[in-house]
Amino acid sequence: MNDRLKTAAASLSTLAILTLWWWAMTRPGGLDKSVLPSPHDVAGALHAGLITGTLHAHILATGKAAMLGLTIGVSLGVAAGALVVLVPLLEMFVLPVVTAMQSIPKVALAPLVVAYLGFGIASKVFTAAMLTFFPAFLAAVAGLRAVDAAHLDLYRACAASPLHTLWNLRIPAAAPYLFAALQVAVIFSLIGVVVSEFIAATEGLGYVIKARSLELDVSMMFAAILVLCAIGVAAGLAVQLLQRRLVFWRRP
Amino acid sequence: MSGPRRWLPALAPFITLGLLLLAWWLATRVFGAPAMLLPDPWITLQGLATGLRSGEIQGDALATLSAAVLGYLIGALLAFGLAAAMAMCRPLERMLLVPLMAFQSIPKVALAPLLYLWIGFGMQSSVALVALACIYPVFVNSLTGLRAVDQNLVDLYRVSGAGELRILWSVRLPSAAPQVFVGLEISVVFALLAAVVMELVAGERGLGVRIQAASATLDMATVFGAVAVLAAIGVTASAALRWLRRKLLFWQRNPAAVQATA
Amino acid sequence: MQQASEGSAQAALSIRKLDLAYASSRGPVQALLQLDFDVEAGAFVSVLGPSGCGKSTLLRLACGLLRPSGGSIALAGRPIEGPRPEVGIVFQQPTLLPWKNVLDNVLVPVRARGADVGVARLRALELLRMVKLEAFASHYPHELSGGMQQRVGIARALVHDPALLLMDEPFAALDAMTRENMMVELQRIWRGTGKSVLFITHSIPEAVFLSDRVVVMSPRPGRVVQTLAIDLPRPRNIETMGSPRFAALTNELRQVFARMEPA
Repeated sequence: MNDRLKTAAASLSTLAILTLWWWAMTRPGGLDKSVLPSPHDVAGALHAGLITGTLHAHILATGKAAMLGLTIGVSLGVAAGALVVLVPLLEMFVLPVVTAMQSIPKVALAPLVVAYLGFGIASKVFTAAMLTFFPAFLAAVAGLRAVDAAHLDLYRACAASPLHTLWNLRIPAAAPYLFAALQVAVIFSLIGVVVSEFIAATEGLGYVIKARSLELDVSMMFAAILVLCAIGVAAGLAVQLLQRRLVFWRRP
Repeated sequence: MSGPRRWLPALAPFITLGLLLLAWWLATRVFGAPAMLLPDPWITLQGLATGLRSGEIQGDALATLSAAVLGYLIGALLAFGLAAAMAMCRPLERMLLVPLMAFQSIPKVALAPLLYLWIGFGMQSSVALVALACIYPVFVNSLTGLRAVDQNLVDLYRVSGAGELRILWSVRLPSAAPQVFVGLEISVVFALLAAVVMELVAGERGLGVRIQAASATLDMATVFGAVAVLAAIGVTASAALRWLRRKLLFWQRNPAAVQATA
Repeated sequence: MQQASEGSAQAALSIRKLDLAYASSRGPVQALLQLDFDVEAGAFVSVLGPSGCGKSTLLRLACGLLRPSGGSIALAGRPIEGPRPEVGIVFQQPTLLPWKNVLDNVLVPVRARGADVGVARLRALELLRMVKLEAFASHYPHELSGGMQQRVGIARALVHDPALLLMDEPFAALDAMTRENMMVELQRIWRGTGKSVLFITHSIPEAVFLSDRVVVMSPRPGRVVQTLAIDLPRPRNIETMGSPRFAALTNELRQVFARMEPA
């Protein structure tokens, strides 16, 4: 308890120092607001964006695309992973190739996706799905394989079908892995959507950041970045909460 | 074991690649997929060859690679230094850990336009974004590795009269090395990702720029060619790091990665 | 003691000249060699042997998870060629699924076989009553002690009413006092069900206490070195373990072990 208090105090003091430094640098006579806006300017931009609502549509656009992309990418990834585990022969053909593809920055294909699918939500969703598919697939394969050998023997001794074993044994056993991958996927889906919005979009937080940069409206850029941050953190917490509820048997 | 059973697993991925290439060739030559969707493999190869001959592809690849490598080194060194300092000095750790986690929660790619605004055109902004992207994975894995040192071993050295620096060199570093390497390996992927993203946002040259320009004109052959080169870089870089780890840390098995997200 | 009378049902488990060899990176390995013994209907037979003698291999053959290289292993007259519903198995580790409660864990074999859960449910509750865990039906494995988990494992092995129960050192993971309690419990449960039991163990007192017959196996390749009939009267209890006849039997088995060549 004491340790926690010390950590909290120390962290708060660091944040206080940083905020003070920030405020000092941006006082009148200091850095121009188009280089580094003052805390006051950023607060103003946040107010305009969140309370007055200029950012609402953009938040919705990014959030929707990220959720869709995440759902599609992870579902396909897990399904493909399950397939590879059910058909052992596929594993040695597909797994090394997909593992190698992890080292390839798939964001590089974002411009291509935009060229095909246009400025709308489709290219954002596709890019996000593309990025989230791979960690989900690899985690699914690792998790579905990481079953206790004794449990497998039990199911085999009961002459259970591979599908029954998959559903009742492998998937629950794989849950911790899948949730870890979900945490990663949440971030990747946001990255995918934001990059897609950088390249070509008409709305979304990434679009805001890019568009505002052209007008040197750094305050709003900061505001949008902070909102993105908040979305990322909130999503991460949501996954953690879900994990704690569903994977109730493992104390993390 | 019968003959085919032994070499099949090693050959299988190449068979898969071969089948994919075959499918590509069939799709374009036999089934006539439109060039706008899927370029002809031969034309792609020719485009690649032309690019290589003129040195353009090498130039672009070098631009992306050097930004990635420089940013990676800066970020990794900074991150490791930070982790080492925090591992040795508990108060420092208390002060910086939560702010660093807050820093981690910012999707680094979102900073690309900001960095461009601050630093301007050119490789510097790429290097900056790459460095920022690599910091957290290396940091969190290094910290975990350094913290997990066997206290008994440290005590042994201390009792024998060794100083802190000697302990750092002989005990903490080798003990932490496998986990540190895991962080380094994860960061390679993020480094390339950040370099490409920066180029897509505001690059003057590099593979990302090339891909973006070619995508706009649906010059699929160039896109595929550039993506292939990028893929080769990514795979080679990861493999190189894995090889390095195996050589340097021949005694250790792979520790689990502390998952960090850029 | 349940004695199979002359001309009664065929031996539950019949093992004749059983061989098992497998290929390893160092060449072919003979795990079992010309194994030959029976488990009669309703009998409790222990297989006693040092580590590495192939006891677990024998169990996997009886489960239908492995095929013999030579000889035969048959259940109720039919050779075992795959998992058979007449067999229930209890492992060394309870291996309960942590995400299912006790009752659902007992029902795992039923669901796996695609059988009717409704009927099996009643049976599962009955079995939990028999192992004295009916109050824990909706509890989760991590809320139970090792001994309790193992009892659930026993209930699970019996839920589909197998004729033969295979037990692979089921008390090895438990502490000594729980082991002794479980031994007495197991005898009580077995006497209530009339099943045949093949019990793998490396504990001599355990084998003597529980069995009608003890089969001693040698280190690899596993062969039957000796069979000893245990004529202690049933029901046996803790006092039985202090009796001179018990001591004599355990001593005899100890000598058999002492005479064996180390692996």
